[in-house]
Amino acid sequence: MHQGAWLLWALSGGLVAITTTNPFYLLPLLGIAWVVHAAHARPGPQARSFRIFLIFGALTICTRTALVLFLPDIQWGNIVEAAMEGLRLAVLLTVFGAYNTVSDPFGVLRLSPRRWHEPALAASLALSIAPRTIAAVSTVREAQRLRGIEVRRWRSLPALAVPVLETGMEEAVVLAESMDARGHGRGRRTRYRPERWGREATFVSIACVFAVGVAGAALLRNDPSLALSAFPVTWPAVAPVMLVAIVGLSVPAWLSLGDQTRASR
Amino acid sequence: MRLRLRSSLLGVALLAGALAPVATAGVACAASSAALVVSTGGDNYTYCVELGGSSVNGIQLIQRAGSQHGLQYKLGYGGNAVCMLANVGASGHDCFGEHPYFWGYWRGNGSGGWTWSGTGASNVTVNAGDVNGWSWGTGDSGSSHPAPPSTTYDSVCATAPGPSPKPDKPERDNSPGSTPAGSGSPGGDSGDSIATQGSPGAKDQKVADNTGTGKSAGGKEAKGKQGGKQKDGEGYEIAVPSPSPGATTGASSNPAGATAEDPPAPVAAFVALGLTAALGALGAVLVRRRRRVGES
Repeated sequence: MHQGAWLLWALSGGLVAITTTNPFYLLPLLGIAWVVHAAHARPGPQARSFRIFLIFGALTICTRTALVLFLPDIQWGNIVEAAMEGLRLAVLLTVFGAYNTVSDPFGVLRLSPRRWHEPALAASLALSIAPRTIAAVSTVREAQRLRGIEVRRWRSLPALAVPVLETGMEEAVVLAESMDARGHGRGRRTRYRPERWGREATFVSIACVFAVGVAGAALLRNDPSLALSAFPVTWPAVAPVMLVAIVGLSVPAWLSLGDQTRASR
Repeated sequence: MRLRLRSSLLGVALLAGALAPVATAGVACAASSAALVVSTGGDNYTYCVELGGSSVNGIQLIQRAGSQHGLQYKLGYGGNAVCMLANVGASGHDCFGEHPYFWGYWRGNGSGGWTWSGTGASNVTVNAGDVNGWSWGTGDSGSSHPAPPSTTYDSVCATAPGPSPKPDKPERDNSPGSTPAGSGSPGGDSGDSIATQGSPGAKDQKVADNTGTGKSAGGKEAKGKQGGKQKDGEGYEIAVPSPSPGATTGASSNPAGATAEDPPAPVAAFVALGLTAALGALGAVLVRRRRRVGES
């Protein structure tokens, strides 16, 4: 799928996630991130980054909730509210993790207008730091293992960190040089393998615009279902439109299902 | 010797504890309660809130009124701001969604008058015999915000178990909505027996009966307030966030019919959770399939 559509998908998922603390909106969003990752993750070591983002998400929830326990007079509402805010951050991280595994880190770079080439390069390097680092770690460890170097958890950390950092640095420099060599940022632009905006990308962007529109309208309308009422703690309501909009963000996964059955025939 | 003294003291304490309900039954709201006045602009609700001997702040007073007398409330900003009281105010995700209207916090000066509280309710300690007031309106100072009607502690927490239950809403009876019964306490949905279940102690029932809060809360059911605009006593209109068509609203939307409105929320919740589970399962299937393709 077109890199722009993926970028749009990640942005919409993130935007919908930050508008709400309702677990009945956030949990389906979490499931969607997982399904999209499962359907579209590019093969290779960077696919592991999704799991690492999930772990970070769980840590976020724990940290956010644990911080509340230091409040002077703590009530149930405080804990519930903190846990839901943690969940919101975790979903945001998970959506970003899914985006990292499905998108081409430097494919986004090609989308940027020529004059913004350099900031776009910096942005795409920053966006892709997690999957690139994870990929580098697994490559370096494999190399160490092949050379008979004992790989231990903490002892081998310095031996691991230096080559990993070096790889990251080198990758960035090589990328910048290669982009320059191909005429990016110089007014000329390569026509080599232009990315095509297919029908799938259109479907996905319609779903994304719908989701952001519905969430934005709910925000403007001051929809009670967006926030969990913590004082007193009550079951949050669920607006069916909102749920439909969120489920719409799973469109990329369904599209790939169609592809796979076609390929297997 | 010392041990015996201590155990006898303990016995006295236990005895006192056992007698305490009897004492409060005789002299209702004797010393351990505070008065809470909620003025929505058109209606006034008064609550004699049992403090139970513990230190309570202005916010906790509202929460106690909720659990003892079924006062509807919603707090925001970590439980430090008052968004909604007696079904008036912001019930959406934005606690100050009705700005410039908001709930002003007043403290009784002991003789029926009010002083504007310069500090937030969560930082104000409420002692027995105090009067706290909340009034809905505009203006962010004591001179511009409407004060609640003059109220003394004794007028709310009547000392003698007199035969005349004082009506809660002296101004108007047939006002729409805002019956302060509802989902705050599990048992306080309707009827005169408010605060019989779900409240912290059985002695609260006496309190409620004596002050007559139960009468107004249960007697006249709120009707015709399902959202839209609510005409207010002074003529301005308060926009009540209406349940969007098709959307199930939370328990806070309708005080009297809260139990009737409640079930849809869990149903929608189950739909959402089922969806999550289905997506999770689908993802697992996809991952397994990809792995198989990768191996072959």
